[in-house]
Amino acid sequence: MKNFLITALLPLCIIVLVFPGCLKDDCNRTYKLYYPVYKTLSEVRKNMKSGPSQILQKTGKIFIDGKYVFINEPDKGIHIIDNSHPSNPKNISFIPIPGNADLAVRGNYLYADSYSDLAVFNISNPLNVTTENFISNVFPERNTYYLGNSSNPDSVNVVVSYIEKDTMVSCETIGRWQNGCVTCSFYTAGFYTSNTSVPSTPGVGGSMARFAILNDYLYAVSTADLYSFNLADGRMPGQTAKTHFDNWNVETIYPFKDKLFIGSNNGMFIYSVTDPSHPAQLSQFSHVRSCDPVITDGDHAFVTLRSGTTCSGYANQLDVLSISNIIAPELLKSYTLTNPHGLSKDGNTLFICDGKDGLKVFDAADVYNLKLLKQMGEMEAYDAIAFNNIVLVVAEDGLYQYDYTDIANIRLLSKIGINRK
Amino acid sequence: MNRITALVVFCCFMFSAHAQSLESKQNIKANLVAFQSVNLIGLIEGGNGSAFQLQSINGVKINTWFAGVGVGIDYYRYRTIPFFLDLRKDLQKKARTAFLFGDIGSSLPWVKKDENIYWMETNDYKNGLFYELGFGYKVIVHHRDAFLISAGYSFKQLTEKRFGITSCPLTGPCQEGLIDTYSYDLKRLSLKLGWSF
Repeated sequence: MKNFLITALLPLCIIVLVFPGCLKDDCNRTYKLYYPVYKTLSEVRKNMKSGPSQILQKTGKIFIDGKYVFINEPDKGIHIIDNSHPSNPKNISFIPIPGNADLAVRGNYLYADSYSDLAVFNISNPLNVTTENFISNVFPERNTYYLGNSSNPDSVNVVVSYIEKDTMVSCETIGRWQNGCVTCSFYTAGFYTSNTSVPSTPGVGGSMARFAILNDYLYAVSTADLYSFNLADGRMPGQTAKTHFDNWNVETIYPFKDKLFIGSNNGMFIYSVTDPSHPAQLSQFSHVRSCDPVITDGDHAFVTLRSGTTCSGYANQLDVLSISNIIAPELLKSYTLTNPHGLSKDGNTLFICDGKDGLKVFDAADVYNLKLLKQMGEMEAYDAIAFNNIVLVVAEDGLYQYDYTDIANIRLLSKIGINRK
Repeated sequence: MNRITALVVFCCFMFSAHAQSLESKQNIKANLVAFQSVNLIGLIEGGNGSAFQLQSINGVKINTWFAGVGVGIDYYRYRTIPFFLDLRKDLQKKARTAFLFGDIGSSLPWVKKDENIYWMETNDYKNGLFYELGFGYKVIVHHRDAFLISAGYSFKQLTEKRFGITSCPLTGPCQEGLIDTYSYDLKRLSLKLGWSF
């Protein structure tokens, strides 16, 4: 026994007790450093003109104007699609617009945001789109480069891209590797949305849009403000009002007749534009915290609530509201859905983009009893515009078009796919 | 785990095994070529503390040599499944003998969820090199049944990729798919107690 202890057990135990202190685990973190590349704002603006078409890399908001479809590539610019033949749409040009998230078209003019600026483009020739005007820092909450008092485009520097450099450091230099947290990096949530529809007037946008055109006015919402621009001179939008919301989580705007339906994280607002230069709040309908695009057919408002990282909340449903009494919207019924995003309605047919469940088509003749007619589950759908028997669907992997002339036989006409980098 | 407590428990197992060996008729007339299974339980000690490990190695014993394939579970820092080739050599052809061993293979990640990542991140672990070198002492208690104790240097490697969500800094365009890669080289001492048959 003693011999065994001496010969085997004791030495091994001593080794294990004593020597681990000499051992040290290694952890190395490899990541990319991004060095910003600057241009002056003047140079950036000079490049904002249409060029050759580019393959979509990410889908954003859309706007239909006549035979053209304008689709936003978040933060990059706007693709122009010739949709003369929905079964064979042609990507004809691209307008590079840094920081672009929203767009709207009226007549020969395209209005698009570029960070905090509003840019006006002449699109009379979609193959040769030119800039008409810039209104600087009109959306100050998205201001990225007007620092200090400088507003001269020649002296304002804009980050246009980054040079990437691979870097490796020991985890110990970045934090608490021994205790578990090895990154301690911080990410801010990016967010973008897309557009849906408006009857009559210039064109058709989407239910997830932040820009809307109603008669001679462009309305835009930020998270906390409603901006009104007079478009009497389309080249020179003139801001007439900036209306502050009590709610700080506004997401979408949808124009209908003389009303604006505004979706926010906490509820829906209805604004009157009887005086189009100064919209006035008529009513509010509150709901649980959730993402909230809204559309209306005049009698009812259809509000989709969804959970998600940028919206918080847990609700995933469609709320149908009666707006017969416009100053007191009343909830009629809620329908459970998977992760509803944008929606569109044509007559009694309601189209809902239900996230990974794809596009769902409902018979909404009886709002108390919506009937699911069809589900196109082949895509992750974000927003839809139903117009002239064709529904355009913005999905995670591209732009789809379906013919719903025969509602019992909805058929895919075309798809413009994306090509991720 | 408290290192001293773990070692005390470990030693108790060993004394028990040794008692049995004294009661048994020592028999070293093992087959020259035979299947053998080595099953081990042990401690791993390193800069990140102590951890538990289990291994099962199955292979062929030829005279004083043994070659086999092993699999186990290793709780040091990140839970992994070591999968390796094992080669060991008895230094003497006796009922009690010291032996040397070496393992080389891959350390497959089986990491518990939510290990130190932020809620907006996702991560993915990749396997890495695993090896162990050491020596031990074997006591044959009956025929081919034997108790083993061994110590060695154990190394396991793991790579973790962390994917952030799109980052939109205030001063420039959004950056997509930020990826951080972490490579872990974990150096430990291993103390194992086992039974072979």
